[in-house]
Amino acid sequence: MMPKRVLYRKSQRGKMKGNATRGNTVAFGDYGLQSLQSSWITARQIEAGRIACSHYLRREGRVFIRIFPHKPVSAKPLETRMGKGKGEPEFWVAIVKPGTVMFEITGVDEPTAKRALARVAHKMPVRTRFVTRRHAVA
Amino acid sequence: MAQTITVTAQARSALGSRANKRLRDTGFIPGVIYGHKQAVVPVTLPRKELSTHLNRGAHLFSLAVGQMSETVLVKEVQYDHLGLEVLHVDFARVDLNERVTVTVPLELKGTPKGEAEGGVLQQIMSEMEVECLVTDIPDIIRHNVSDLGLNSVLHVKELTLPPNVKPTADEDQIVATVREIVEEAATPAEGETAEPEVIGRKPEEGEAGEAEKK
Repeated sequence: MMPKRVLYRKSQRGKMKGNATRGNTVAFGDYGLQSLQSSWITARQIEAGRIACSHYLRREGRVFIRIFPHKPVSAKPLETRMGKGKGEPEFWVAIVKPGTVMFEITGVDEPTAKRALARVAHKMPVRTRFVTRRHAVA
Repeated sequence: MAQTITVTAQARSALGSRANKRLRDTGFIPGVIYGHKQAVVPVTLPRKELSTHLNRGAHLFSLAVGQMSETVLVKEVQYDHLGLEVLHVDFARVDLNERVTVTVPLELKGTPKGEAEGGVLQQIMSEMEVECLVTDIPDIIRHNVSDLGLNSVLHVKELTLPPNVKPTADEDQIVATVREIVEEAATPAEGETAEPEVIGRKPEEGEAGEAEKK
């Protein structure tokens, strides 16, 4: 997973301050996996989570991935002296803050969703919690 | 149908985020009552009691503020970033004979026929905006989907709603479908190393540069 087109090839590291103010509710499915920490989630971790979930669910239910790796992370090659400019983009990450709902599931019962998302949680570099959809009252 | 729940509230004089934080630390929630061209009344509400009612999907409250009692409708509920705690509640004054627009949860019951043929029920709309009398607000709208076959679609117009309840959404809007899930192909390994296209950058430049180096 990575963007098809970008404005700039490389980005600065940035800071991950505060909590998620958007994408912090279950919006597409019935159950979700919510992050309790802030971190970079690499494209490979997202893919590993997706595979773990879809293998467990087989062809039952539907999985929604709510995060996308928009941020390029560059790295310098091994045994290279410092300087000579920024390294080349090595991998892509999604920025996740406390509250971000990363994965969602629909079409399965709650115990199955819990077990499937627990498998996803093992692939994530953050502490997570299982959340269910909350209906609006207003 | 929605029942009026009586909650005792207190008028709130201390305003602002710091005062509200102090209030939340003591087990209360700040709220506000407005509407009907009357004065805006900031109130304090008991957190535990109100959260219980809101989690059960209560819409209509009778707030006893001092000696006054106001019938109000929940307009907006603010939650913290994890969606665990209620931070603030907006209430709008209503008349019991007034027609209002509210969001009501939509629950699909039964197992569709299409699931036996390999389909998966996908509920696209899980809550619905309806217009009805304050006293007629349904707690939940339930619809039986056991007749839905594979590749069939349930529209808003096909829902069985309680009397005097009208949906505000378009009649042809899709509520649920039964479709076969096509598994996404795993991203190719070589795709990870490839770079995305840079917007506004001419590809000739790079190629020309390489050619010059050679």
